[in-house]
Amino acid sequence: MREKTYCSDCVNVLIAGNPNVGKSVVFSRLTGINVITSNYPGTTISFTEGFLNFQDKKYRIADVPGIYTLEPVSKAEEVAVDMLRSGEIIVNVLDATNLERNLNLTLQILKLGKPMILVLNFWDETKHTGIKIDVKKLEDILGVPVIPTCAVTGEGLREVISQLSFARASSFKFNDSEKWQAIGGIIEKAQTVFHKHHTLLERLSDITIAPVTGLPAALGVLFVVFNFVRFIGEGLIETVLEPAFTNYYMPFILRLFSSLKIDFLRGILLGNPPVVMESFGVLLTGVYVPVVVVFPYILSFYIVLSFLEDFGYLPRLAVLLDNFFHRLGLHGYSAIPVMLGLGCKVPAILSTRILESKREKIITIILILMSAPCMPQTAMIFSMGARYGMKTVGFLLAIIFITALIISYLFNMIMKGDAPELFIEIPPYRMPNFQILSKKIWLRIKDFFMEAMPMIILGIFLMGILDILGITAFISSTLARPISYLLGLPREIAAVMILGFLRKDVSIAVLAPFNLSAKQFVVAGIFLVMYLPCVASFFMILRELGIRTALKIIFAIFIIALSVGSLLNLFL
Amino acid sequence: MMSLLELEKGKEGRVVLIQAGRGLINKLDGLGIRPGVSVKKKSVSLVESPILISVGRTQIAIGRGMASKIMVETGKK
Repeated sequence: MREKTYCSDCVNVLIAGNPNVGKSVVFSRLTGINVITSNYPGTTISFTEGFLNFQDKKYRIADVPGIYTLEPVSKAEEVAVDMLRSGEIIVNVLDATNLERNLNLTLQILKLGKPMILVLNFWDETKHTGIKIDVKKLEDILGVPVIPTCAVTGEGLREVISQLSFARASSFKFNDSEKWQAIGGIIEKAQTVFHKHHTLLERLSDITIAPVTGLPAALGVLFVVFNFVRFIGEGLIETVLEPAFTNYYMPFILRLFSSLKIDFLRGILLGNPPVVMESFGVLLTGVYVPVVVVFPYILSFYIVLSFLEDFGYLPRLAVLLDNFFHRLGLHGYSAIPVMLGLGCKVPAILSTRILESKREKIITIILILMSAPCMPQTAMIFSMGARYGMKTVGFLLAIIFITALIISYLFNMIMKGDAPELFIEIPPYRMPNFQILSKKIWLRIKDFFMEAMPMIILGIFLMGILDILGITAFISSTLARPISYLLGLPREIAAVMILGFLRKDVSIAVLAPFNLSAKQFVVAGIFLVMYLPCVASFFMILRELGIRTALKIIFAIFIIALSVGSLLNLFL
Repeated sequence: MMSLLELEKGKEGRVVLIQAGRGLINKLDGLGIRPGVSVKKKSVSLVESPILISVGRTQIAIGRGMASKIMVETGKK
């Protein structure tokens, strides 16, 4: 991770500062490299570097993860501190609305004696928060260039670039033991604070983090998110993607390969029969699943998620749900992937990367997979379950949720270790910048197409081969009898299971012709939600956890789904 | 003297002592929590969830274990 691009005549510039002060936005602005930024601490986990040419000088710029102090507490901070020592110029980014605390790190950095410049970011916010900073005075005291910026709009960044060659070691002297007095002295001279009223966003912040009002607010947010995701996702599928696929793409592909007579190749490319949802053709199903089924939900989810991230809602949600997640041996931060999983499991599994230990990742993925169906499947359960009444549907979903809780609780007991106590800074709410937001959504979509989609296509390709070799048919005929017996469902359930691997929502829909009783519907619904992840998420888990762990988890979940289904069949 | 955990919601207290190892003391110091500063307890829930405090302009959510190690004083001026 720390290898460096070779560039002998480059000047090493490091962007350093407290978490969530906008270092990554400054970095993107300087280098033109897009990195994911958000309004919560710790978005930058590994470091990124880029280059900048200015007036015959070449700079290699690195975005250092945020740190509060040069005395490292965690592994990530250790890396950051090591990096700082290797830099030639340090660009110290500060949150101008929080000068006193940010200067703590600045004073430690200037003790390194390296040439540096200070960037006072969020300059625009100081105006309406009643803070006035005398930039000239600060420059005089510290003896380094100080530049006010608003990185999201790009204001002041040109100035930062042109000041790079004026970076110098600070002349400010102080005793380590009197660090805070020194900071107090600087603040007194360079900053004036006016009285100000609570802003609307601050009030909103208080409301959404205090448990009494925060939990209902969280439910409200969840409700809006769901409806938005469904509206955009389903809209895209029904009006754009599905018609485009069936009316243009599919006939085109079929015509293109109409003269292909080799059955084996036809089977692999188009599927046999060439019907999208009944076979595994790479060119048809392999494109249909990621593009038509998953992509719309990925897009709509990322739109909402990115907005909530930049607004600053997610750390508040993490705090609200921390207690609940701690009982499962997790951190409040696991709330984010689990919430994503209510929409689509694919981005949810991807986002478990923010979690530190493999243990946390495993339990979170189990929760993602088991706690609720994905959005399309939920919709299908509701529409199919309507004829049995909402009580039945509610019962079905409740059983799924309770099972997930019990299982992750058990996994937590088996797997040693506990998540550390929550300790995070809660950033103020900020109105997201449209340009930065759209760039971020674009980056994530690109990531989906570059990283996730090949996995899904590969998965469907492998499934196709199994299908052609007759292995799938063998498995389903072997499983049909025991499974239908255990669950009290028609034999065809085996075929539905295979289908559900491709599209979990359709697997519920095809239950319609069987005229199931309410009990059978509940058993079938619960089983089909839990038994296996869909092909797309299956290969995501494989990639995130490695093949052995992934297979173990999936096998365990299958057994659990079968047991729960059998028990319900016995006792309902 | 009482711990931050015992401090009443909405009240402010001055940190007098942090009974913890160097790691935690440094971590808290980095966020501006150190002996001498005023800390306001903003909210706390019925269940055992983290408590929310504010120091200057910074809001921090902190686990109960950590909060119990931060001793504060109120009333005296």
